Amino acid sequence: MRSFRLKLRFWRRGKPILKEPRKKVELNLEKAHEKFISLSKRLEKIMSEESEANACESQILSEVSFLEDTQVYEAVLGRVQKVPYPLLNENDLGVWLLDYYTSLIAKIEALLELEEDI
Amino acid sequence: MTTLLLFTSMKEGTEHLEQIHSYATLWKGNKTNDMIQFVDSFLDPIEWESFDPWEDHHSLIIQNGMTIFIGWKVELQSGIIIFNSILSQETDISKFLNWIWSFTHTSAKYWDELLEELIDQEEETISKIPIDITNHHIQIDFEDRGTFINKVTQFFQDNIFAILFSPHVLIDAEKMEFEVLQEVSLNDLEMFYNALNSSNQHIKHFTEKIVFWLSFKNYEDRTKEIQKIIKLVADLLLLDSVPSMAILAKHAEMLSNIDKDHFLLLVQQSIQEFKPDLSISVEDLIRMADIVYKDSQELAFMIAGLALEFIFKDNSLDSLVLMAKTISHWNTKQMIALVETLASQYPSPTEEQKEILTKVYDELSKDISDPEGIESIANAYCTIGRQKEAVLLRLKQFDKIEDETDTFALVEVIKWAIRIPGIEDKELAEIIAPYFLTAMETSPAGPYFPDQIGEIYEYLEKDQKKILILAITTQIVKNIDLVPILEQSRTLEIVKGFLKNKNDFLDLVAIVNAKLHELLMEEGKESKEIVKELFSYIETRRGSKEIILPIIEKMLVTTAKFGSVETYTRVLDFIKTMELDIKTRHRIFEMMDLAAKNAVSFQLEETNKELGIQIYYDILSFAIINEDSEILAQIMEHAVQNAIEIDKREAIIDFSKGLFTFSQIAGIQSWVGKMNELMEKIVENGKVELSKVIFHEIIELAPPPNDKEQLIEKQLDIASKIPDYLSPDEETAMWQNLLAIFNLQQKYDEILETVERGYHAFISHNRPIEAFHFLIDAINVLDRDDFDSLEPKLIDSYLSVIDFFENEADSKFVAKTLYNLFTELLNHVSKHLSRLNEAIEITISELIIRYIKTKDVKQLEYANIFLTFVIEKIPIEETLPILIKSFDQIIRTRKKFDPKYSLFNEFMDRLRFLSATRQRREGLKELRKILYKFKKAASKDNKIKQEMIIGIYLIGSFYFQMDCDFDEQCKIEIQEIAVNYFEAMIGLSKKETGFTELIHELYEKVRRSPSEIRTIVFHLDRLINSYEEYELLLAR
Repeated sequence: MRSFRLKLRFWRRGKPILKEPRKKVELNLEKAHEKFISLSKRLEKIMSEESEANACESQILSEVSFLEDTQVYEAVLGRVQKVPYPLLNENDLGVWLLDYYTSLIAKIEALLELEEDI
Repeated sequence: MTTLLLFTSMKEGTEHLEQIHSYATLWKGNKTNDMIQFVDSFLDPIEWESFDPWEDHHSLIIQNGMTIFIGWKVELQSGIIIFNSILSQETDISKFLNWIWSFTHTSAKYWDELLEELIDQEEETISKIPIDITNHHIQIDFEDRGTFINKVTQFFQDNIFAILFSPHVLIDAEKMEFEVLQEVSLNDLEMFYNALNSSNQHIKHFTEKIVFWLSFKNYEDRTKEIQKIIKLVADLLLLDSVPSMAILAKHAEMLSNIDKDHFLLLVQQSIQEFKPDLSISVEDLIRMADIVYKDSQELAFMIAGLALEFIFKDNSLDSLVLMAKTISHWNTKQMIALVETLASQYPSPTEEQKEILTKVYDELSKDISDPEGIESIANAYCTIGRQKEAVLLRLKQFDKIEDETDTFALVEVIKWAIRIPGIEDKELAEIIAPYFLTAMETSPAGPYFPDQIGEIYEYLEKDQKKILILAITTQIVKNIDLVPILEQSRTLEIVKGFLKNKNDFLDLVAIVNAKLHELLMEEGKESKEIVKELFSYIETRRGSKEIILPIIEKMLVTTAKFGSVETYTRVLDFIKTMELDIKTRHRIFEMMDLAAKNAVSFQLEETNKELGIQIYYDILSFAIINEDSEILAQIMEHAVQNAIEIDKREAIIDFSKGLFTFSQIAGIQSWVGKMNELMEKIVENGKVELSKVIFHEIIELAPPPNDKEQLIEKQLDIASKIPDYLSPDEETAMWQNLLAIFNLQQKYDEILETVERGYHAFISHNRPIEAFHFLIDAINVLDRDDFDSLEPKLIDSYLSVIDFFENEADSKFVAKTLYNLFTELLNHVSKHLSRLNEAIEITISELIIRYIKTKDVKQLEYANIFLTFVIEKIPIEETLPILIKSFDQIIRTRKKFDPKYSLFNEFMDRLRFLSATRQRREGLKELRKILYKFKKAASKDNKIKQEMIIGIYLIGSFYFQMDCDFDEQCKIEIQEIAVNYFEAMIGLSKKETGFTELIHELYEKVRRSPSEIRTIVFHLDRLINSYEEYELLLAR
């Protein structure tokens, strides 16, 4: 039992810090933003065609507007472009925003898939 | 012969003896099967209930020609049974009685002592003592062994009838005692005594034989014979040396039964020395003849002859019937002799005599089978003017024909019948008709039958028997197929030869021609001459529609059957030139219908079969719809059947529509049943698609709702038998149609029943989605109150859909379908919330399982959307526990299986859920937790890390999503959180830069007013842009 605990501590200590290539983050961020905007418009269109507002759609679209209004995208992209080192660590704002966009894109896509008559 | 049986129930010392039931037995004397059987049944405790081993028993019985004594002594537990022949010698009787005496007077103490006494018994010699019987109660007392032996011997020899007619005879130590039946008088007993002691050997012999005969009957049967026996013995006593024929005849049956040989001897003797006797009864004589016949035919004939003499002499004709009845089962020779005798006796019978003779011949002909006898009786019938009976009698023998010679004989009889005078042609035609058919059917191949027909027609022509000619011709034409195939046309040609050019038979010739036309067509050749004759005939008789219509029918059927389109068209053209009233037109339709059926059934080539379809179109071409709709409806049913037969798709559809249309016009209700039968037939023929096409075509014609309902029911019925007969959409449409029909008629019970049936049909076809939609449709046509009962079913069907999708690989499709159904479910279920919760939980679990299987994060996003949707639709308080449970499951699963699922994204997911469920307090807790983590990480590195900027976004985002603007408590708490967060940042800002200044600025803002938290996110770009400077400064 004792040796098992020791082993567990060893693994905890050994967790690596993830890093992402800067350029990759930059490009993906641009793409993600573009897609995010396009999907948001589609969602907005569906919503405008509905007689009754769907709570889920409203919630996501509010969040999208809120995020866009903060203009963090331009600021974060500018920052990522100016970073002098090749790798960004996992807590970088660029990585965060990309992750956030990715998550919102999945949500909007899921919603569109359920709502659109395809 | 006397036989003794000793039996005992004692076991000691009897082991070596024969055991019968529970008794040891010892035989002395010869034993017969009758004796063994008697003992066996007597000692059988089940069979012989009257014997009680705990009472003394002494009785005498007569059975099977034996006098039997049965004795039993209780104190000895032993008994005897003694058998003696009923008419035995005195010595045997003496032995028998001595044993009885010894037994009744024994002093033995044990069974073996009794045995010794019986074996060593002294035998008393006999000297008879006569007994006078003065009373029905008879008691004979015994003083000693001598009187016992003598009295009883005398009694046995002279008064055995008294014992025979007594129910029970007792013999004990002192007396013999019994009661004679009252039916037997004392005079009768005396008469029996006299008969037994008669000096006339015949009388004595028969009386003894009577005793013997009676002894074989049981007591019951014996008493039934009393009166007969008394009369017989009385008459026997009248016999003198030559036996009287009258007495013998009167008692023939009994005497024959009692002693047949002696009886025959007496009969013979009485005939040889016959003396006329007025007391002789003719009927008795006839009966005696019949009795004697079995043993001596010669003697029987002599008696019958004697009887006949009496009949003729006394003119007692009535007795002839009995004579005939009797002789009818003797041999044929005797019957013929009788018939000939009667014919010569009555050459010109009076009406009265004719009647009697008819009865006589009827009797004689009842069971006769010999042809010679039949002919003789038939001729006899003719002599008394009974020709019909004569013909029937002769023909009757051909009811069953076994070989060709019978046929020849039958034809001869038919020829005989048509030539005898005195019978009406019409009657004769009716009588011979079935036999004529038999003759046609059984005639051998070759010229025999046509030749015979020629001969028959010669007779008929000679005797001018028009009615018979008509009947026989019609019969031949109708049944020509019974004649051997090669002789059919020849036979008809011979008939035609006789009839041709005779004005009286023009119509008959046409009938023959029509049949000949058919026969020749069957052989593959159409005779132009016959066709010409037929058209010439119908043209000539144009005015007599009733006469020519059968010919036209025959022509239509023949031409259709054998594909002669040209002749068919000519017939049709002729029909069109006729003046057709409704009745005739309908008759012609029926003929054409028949012709069409023949075309389809008989034609081998497909192209010719199509004539069968063309005929129906021809019918329609000259039908007058308003007048003919009823018959057209009937014909269209056949038309559809024929079209199915030859697989003419267009015709099937046309005629089906015709069936519907004409039925509607004619107001025929039964059309839909017929249509459905046809549908089934079409499906049986493998034309599944066609059945549906016809269904839709008819539905297009807008049948009445009830009919439409039946049509739909049929389609559903077929679907229940043939998997995939209807696609899911089609099946749904069918059920919806049914609902619509019932809804239109406001038949709510039917609607509910249909919903039930439809639902089960879909489920049993593994179509839960359709079942679900169907329920929704049903709910939409029902009032709110009515569909409460459907809610659980709706949830069930939704859950069935989830099960149904278990193996469906297309997860997107599954989610979308479930989402749509789920939407409907939430819109329609309002009362069964616990079941609804179950559905929610199972749905989320299903999506989670799909995520685990596919690692497609969208499955979980779907799950989140489902939850948000539920929150929107259902009162939150009803479902919150289930929602929280399901949401936690989603988050746990995501964290477990997705390593990239960040702290931020988890928080955002929680924030969205908590916002939707209005759980601000929970939200604040989550916010504090994540900000603490950011602060802790920054403290560790002792600097403001980038993620702290994300923290500011989270605070702003929380304020916005939770609508803190409208909740003062929320404002206070978020302000506190924000202030703390900014203070932590300020605490970590070691260098003065634009970035730290901005932090201060924002800090001041939120400290001043919680509403400012709403705006802090709009400074994030500045914070991000200035962070680089802060970072660089720290790096230095």
